[in-house]
Amino acid sequence: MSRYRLHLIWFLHQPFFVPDDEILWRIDSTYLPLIEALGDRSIKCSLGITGSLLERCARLRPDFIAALARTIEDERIMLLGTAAYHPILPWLSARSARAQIFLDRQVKAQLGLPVAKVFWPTELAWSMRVGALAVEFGYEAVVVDNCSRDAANLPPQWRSSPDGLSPVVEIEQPLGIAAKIETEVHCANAPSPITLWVRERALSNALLEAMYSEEENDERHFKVFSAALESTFSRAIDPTAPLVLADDPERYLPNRLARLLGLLDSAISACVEFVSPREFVASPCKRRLSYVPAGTMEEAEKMWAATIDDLWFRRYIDHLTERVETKFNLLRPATEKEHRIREKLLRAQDSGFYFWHYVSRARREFYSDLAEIEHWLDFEPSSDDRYR
Amino acid sequence: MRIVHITGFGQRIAFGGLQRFLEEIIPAQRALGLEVDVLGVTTEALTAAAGAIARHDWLAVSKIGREVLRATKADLFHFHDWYGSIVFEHLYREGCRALVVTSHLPLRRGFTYRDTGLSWQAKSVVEHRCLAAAPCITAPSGYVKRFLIEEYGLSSERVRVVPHGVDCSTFHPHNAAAVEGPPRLLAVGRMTEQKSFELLIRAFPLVLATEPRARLTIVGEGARRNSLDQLISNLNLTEVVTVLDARSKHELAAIFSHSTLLIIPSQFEPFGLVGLEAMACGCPVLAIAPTGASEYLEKAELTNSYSIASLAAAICRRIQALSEQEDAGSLVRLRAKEWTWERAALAYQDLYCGCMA
Repeated sequence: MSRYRLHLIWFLHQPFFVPDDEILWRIDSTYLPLIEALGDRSIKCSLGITGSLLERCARLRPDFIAALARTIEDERIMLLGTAAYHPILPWLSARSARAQIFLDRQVKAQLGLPVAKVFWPTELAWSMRVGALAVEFGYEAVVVDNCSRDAANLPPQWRSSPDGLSPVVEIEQPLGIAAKIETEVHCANAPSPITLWVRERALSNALLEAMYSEEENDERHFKVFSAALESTFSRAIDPTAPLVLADDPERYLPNRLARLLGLLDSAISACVEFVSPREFVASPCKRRLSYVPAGTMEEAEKMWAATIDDLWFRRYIDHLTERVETKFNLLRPATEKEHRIREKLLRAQDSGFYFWHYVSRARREFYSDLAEIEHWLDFEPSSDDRYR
Repeated sequence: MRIVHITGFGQRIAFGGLQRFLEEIIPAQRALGLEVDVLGVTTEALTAAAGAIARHDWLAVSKIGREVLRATKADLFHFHDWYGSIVFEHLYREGCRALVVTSHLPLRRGFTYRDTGLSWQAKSVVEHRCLAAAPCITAPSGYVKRFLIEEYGLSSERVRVVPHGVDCSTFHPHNAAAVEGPPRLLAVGRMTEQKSFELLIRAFPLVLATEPRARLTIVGEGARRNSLDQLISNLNLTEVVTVLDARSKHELAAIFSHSTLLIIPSQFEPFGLVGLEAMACGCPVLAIAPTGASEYLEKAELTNSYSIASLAAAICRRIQALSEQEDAGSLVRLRAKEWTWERAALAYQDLYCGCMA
């Protein structure tokens, strides 16, 4: 009898400025060992991987795509749809957001990789509008962070301070956790049902803590994770139903590969059951909500607005996006140059800009792309007539 | 010319590869006529500086650095990793520019020694300051140099590669005939996550499926010793995998001499001195790339996957290839002989002269 049931979702992405040899290293050091480790332990999981990363993997290591295709065919992995690059979708115009989702699907179709009807919005950046866009592309479920679920139906609260009232945004840990939520979004002026898969951040954080703990004893790593399991499941509506553990393995692999293998073995010994995608899809929904508030993995807006550099970059890219979108249809670029401009624009929407700022190589690349777009906008003859 | 190497951990001067490096480079530099000394920054001194580093009070850090340095005089100070950063702070503020920093284990790669008196964040800050200000930076391999360029934004011209060497008079074959017989696999190093011995242990049952007579010995010490023992027991490998405590150089030479293959499964290896030492004893090497050991290893001696199955397959292929190759031990020893400490010492001397000019 399993004590805890988990459905694992891994998400993979590398920003465009990461060089090819580092992608190759990622494949050999992180992606393939992870797939192998799960296979060795008969753990079936869901996997989100951005179209842009898949495309690069296919160009650099076709054998990786072949291995991935086999695992999908054997139902060991269920491939999720996501964005082509790694944008914060709620920020984007509908045209850019559609182009991101469309290109991801296009790459996966071209590689012959079947995509499930489950959508992973990058950064788990959810809003009701993202749900509508997902439905537009045929998705029936979207993965969200638990902060969205937990903020639903909470009355607004304010704290009194000398400067006046300020909103209280911290959410008390709620009772009644459910891994699936049913809601409705408005798509093409009609309500459409959509299921939200809720990732429990406490579990992901516990896993991360176990991976980076200074403690060298493998049993204690599992104890850290086990404590979070116990606490999270104790608040579940149905403690026998599976919860979602979703994370980005690049946060701790390959450096902590040995630890992760040890932790998986300990979890299996402790009767943690890893539920397959098929079982998770079939598990019933326990909760309905009419409105699910926006949220991301990191929750706070300040993650992307810490410095003037962040703010001004975002204004710059928003401005250029608007100008590009009046020039041509991002879904149907007509010329080679338009294809190139689209690629540069969409990849510059990657949220990696905000997370890689300590790496000098990263931000400069974003600005180089945007400079090329701006030059094209300023000096190319007007092509408004080509707008379709 | 008087040189002072500045490193960590007081009397013990350092751990692992850095300790070995200092033990070897200092006599080689003295043999060139340099006056060489070592200053170890103690954990206590670093702990005392921790608060000031957190407050970014660099004047206070500098004062602690001055107390550590006391009356130590030199024409040039050679810093190793971030350990001497508080002394660096003092010297730099005093206008001294005869400063060389060697980055052996860049923090941003995610591995560091623990119990050093500073938190990870504090180490990152002081390392960043040293690398940003250092007039001259060296790396033990092109691999580390590239990492410094890409992850720290250092310009290529600022980083010079000075590879380590090996003492072939200590590391030499003890009894070449003894390598006959079943494959004896070996791994040597600190028992930390960086060295990734767990992967090798997990791959070993797959090696045994092809090479049932193979045996594995792991030599070293470290915080993960208990976990390794537990894993060996869990996988029922106690009969075929032996774990030995750290050994002296002479004992290691004997162990290398009696081994078929040294495996370096490290997640990050700035140079992998142990590989060169094994080769000097006639023991071939297999390492996971990318690695600093690429400086001296050939393509056939590298594998590029952390997958357990791929590592096991690479080990089996290497064992098979070695069994078909005559004089494999002599050939690797010949290659190792090219990497002398004298060569490294000369490169540093040249660098020091340039830096002082």
